[in-house]
Amino acid sequence: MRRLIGITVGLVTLAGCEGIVTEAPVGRPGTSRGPVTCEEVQATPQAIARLTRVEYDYAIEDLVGDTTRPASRFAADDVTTGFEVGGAVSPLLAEQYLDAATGIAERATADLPALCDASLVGEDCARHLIEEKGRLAYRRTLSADEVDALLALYRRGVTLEDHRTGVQLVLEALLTSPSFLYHVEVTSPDAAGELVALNDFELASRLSFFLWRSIPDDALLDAAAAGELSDVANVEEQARRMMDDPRALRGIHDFYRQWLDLDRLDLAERDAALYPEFSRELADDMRASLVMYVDEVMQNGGTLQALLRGEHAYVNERLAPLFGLEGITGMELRRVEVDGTRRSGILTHPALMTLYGKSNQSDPIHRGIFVRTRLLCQQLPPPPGDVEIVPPDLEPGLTTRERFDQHRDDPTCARCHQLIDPIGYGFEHYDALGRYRETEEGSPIDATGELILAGDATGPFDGAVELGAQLAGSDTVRECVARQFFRFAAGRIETDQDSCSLEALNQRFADSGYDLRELMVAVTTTDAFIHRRLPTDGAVSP
Amino acid sequence: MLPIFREKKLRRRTFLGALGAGALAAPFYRLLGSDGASAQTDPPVRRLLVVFSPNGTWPDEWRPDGGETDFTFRRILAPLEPYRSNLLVLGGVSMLSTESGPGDGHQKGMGHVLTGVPLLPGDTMGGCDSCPPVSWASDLSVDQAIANHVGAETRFRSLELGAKSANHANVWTRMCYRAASEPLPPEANPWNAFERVFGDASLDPEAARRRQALRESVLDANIAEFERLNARLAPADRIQLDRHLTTIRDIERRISAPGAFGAECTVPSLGGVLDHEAIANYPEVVRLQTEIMVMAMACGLTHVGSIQWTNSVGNIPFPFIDVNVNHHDLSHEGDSNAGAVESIIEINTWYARQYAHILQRLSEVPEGDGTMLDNTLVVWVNELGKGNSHTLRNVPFVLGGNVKNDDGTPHFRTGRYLQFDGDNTSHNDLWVSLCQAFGIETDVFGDAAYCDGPLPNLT
Repeated sequence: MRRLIGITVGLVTLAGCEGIVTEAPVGRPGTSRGPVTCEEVQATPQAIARLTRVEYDYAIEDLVGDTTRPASRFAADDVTTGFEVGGAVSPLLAEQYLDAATGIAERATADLPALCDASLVGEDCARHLIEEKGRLAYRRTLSADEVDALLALYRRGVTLEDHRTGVQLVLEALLTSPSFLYHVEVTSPDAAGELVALNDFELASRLSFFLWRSIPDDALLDAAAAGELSDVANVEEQARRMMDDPRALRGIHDFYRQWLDLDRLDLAERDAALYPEFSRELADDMRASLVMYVDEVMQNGGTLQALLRGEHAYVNERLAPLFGLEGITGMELRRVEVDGTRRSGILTHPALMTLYGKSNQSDPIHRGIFVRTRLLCQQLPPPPGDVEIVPPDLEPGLTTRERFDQHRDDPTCARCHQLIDPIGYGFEHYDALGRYRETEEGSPIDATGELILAGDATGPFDGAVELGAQLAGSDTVRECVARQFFRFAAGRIETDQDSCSLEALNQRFADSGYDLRELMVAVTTTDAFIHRRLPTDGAVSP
Repeated sequence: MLPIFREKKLRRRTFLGALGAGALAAPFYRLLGSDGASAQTDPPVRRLLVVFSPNGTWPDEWRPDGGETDFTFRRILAPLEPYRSNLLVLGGVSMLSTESGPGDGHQKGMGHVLTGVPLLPGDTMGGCDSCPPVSWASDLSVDQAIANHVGAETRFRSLELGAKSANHANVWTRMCYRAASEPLPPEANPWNAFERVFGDASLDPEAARRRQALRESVLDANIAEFERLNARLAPADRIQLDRHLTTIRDIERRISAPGAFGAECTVPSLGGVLDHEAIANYPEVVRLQTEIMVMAMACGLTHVGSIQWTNSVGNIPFPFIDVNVNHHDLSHEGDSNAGAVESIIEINTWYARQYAHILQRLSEVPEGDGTMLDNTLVVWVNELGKGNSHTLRNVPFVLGGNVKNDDGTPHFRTGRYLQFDGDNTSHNDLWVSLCQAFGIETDVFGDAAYCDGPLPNLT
């Protein structure tokens, strides 16, 4: 489950928001124990993880062409780092693995000629499948013992029923094998606490599950078999090849889905009296529009600037009014230029403004927290216990800002909310659907705000467009985005021991002019990516 | 999975007809004649069902008026009036174990409520000053301790169901643990739960037998495969995969364990598939999960279950009772906000009605000389005492139904409201009482530092 072992020091915690008015520095992760020399390879201990639901479904698609997404029914993955990781296997999940394998194998064997070359019959077909599908499923060459066991199972199926049943059992066994279900790395029965360079096949898997959320293809496995991935230059070359493959969109979409918390958009509700135009279809359009925007950035060598500050959008007839656009007809999303004085890339996109909006009003608090946690990588504690917290109701004649300003007046609240609300106020031009507004309750919008304790992003701004400029030009934000990709790839929070990997990552991100594709490639060349430190025996925090 | 309904006599056509016919269910199998299966068991069957609702209660309307036996319900528990003789309403029981270990109020509340042990460090940030991030509870939960004792022979050791119980796993969304760091996920989709529990009811016996034979072949190969790989793994990884392997062995052992079907075992009919995550369907999903749970127990497929209504910090609106603000948001409102207080009371009263419905369903299933309610203890828990203070003291616990002693007498003296000293009464002791009710000889459950033996005056 690739979870952290030991003490977490990577989190920049504004613990209790104490003392924040004065000094508390916003540091980079991994620097809290003084200088680390980067001459020796380091990596954080990491427990074995199983495939996430997303990884399972793409692996099944690539293995047997089954696009039914069986894992969408599985027990949920752990979300402890902001990103999904494969946690402990419950009896429910163990049963779900068995049932899913049966269903997939039944569907796959319905068309036996598609599975086996027509010239291969009987056991020859089974052997071919074991070698071909087995290598893809286990992401390595199978041992003779493994092949023999699967052939024996094939024969058992033939005895019980027929050839098809034999093939079906082989597929079921492949799909329930720990070599398929887990990210198996470092098979060394006596190793504990050691730092080990991954072998070629293990590295091939890390590459494919990071970039494609799936199993490697034959080309990658061939490179592994030829020993080519022992050279990090070849790892990078493979990563570039894979980023050019359409499957790279899976990794990109899965990253942004989790980083921006897009799934919650599916659950968004709006007060119909205040936002009658809101509908499931509108929410779906918002999400699709945001994804198209991200795709364009990621496919065209886009930078963090382009992501946060772009002056275009994808709209259709339903979305156009939210952007203040007229004359857009039809439901097809198309690229249009938008007013750069009112729009700033994904930051002001209706999808995010809705996601971080309330049913009946804008939501400066959660918009502020979004920037703090997702763009500045700073953890904020939720409100403390034993404090009565009263989010202000709508009140005629008062703007959202006026109603929320009591946070500033109550010292208990102000400790933390001065870090949150002044960022969120920057989004006050956008209502709960992300529509631009100049006034609220008859008063002009005041969207002035301030980033406090935000590294080199610190400072005042007026509105989300200025905020976007301030964020997009900040090293603190750039390093945070790099860390988010690192967490996504590693399935864990960074620690001290990753500081050299992160430093190298930051450098390469900078060298590329903050190109987000290059950032993903750079992740694959870090020490943390190409090594694994084994947990010490019994010290696993599973 | 594939529960095998041994010796099923109904023809498939008949069964499907029955399924399509009505809102509820039709008896589909009768193994032991007209007596309920448990009538013959010795010692008597003992079942546990834990239900959870989130965000604390509104204590002033939860706490009954009056004394131990002459109490009168206030608004929230008023729906339980028909079952007052079956209840133990426990005031002043506190999660004192939360004084130890990391975590914020909701994290601790959820992680401690059934375990009574500290949380482990991890990656999940909490909300207290300088508190380190956490992962999971550090030991098993009381339902699992009891499942280990009474669930050895059933098709499922335990059955975890939920309703809008979150589509991600972390310490806020899990309350049942089979071991440290091994939370058990609730199945939140009634149609998936139905398929798991009653799945082969639509197969004819021959097809079911065939599938079982194939499944056993796969399991044999799978176990050998795990053993082969595990031998090569580093110790820490081996521990993880050994847990998975043990689970598979358990599945293999139970695969042919039939329910002890009695006359009252019926397959619930769920009706057409609804979006189980839509708010509008929440009441129906809650009802269906109750049906599945009650029938899984009536059919002897499990003796231990839980139904988790949302999760810690559960934040859904209740438009079907005209509460359109989300539950957790409401629970943060101050005591002076009369509108919010009213909504919180309405929500908790709604949950009390769902709890009462479970008691009702159990009381409608004859068993031995009485009903299933005589042999099923239904424990209602919450992760907080009161929402806006996040207090972990005076948590609302209600016990309904009962279990029997070996001599057939009721274990708990029900029909009472007991008020304990909230500063000194540990919920660990309540779980000690529960363990003892199920025949586990112990004076300690969870963190021993918070155990004084069973709660007094329950039996």
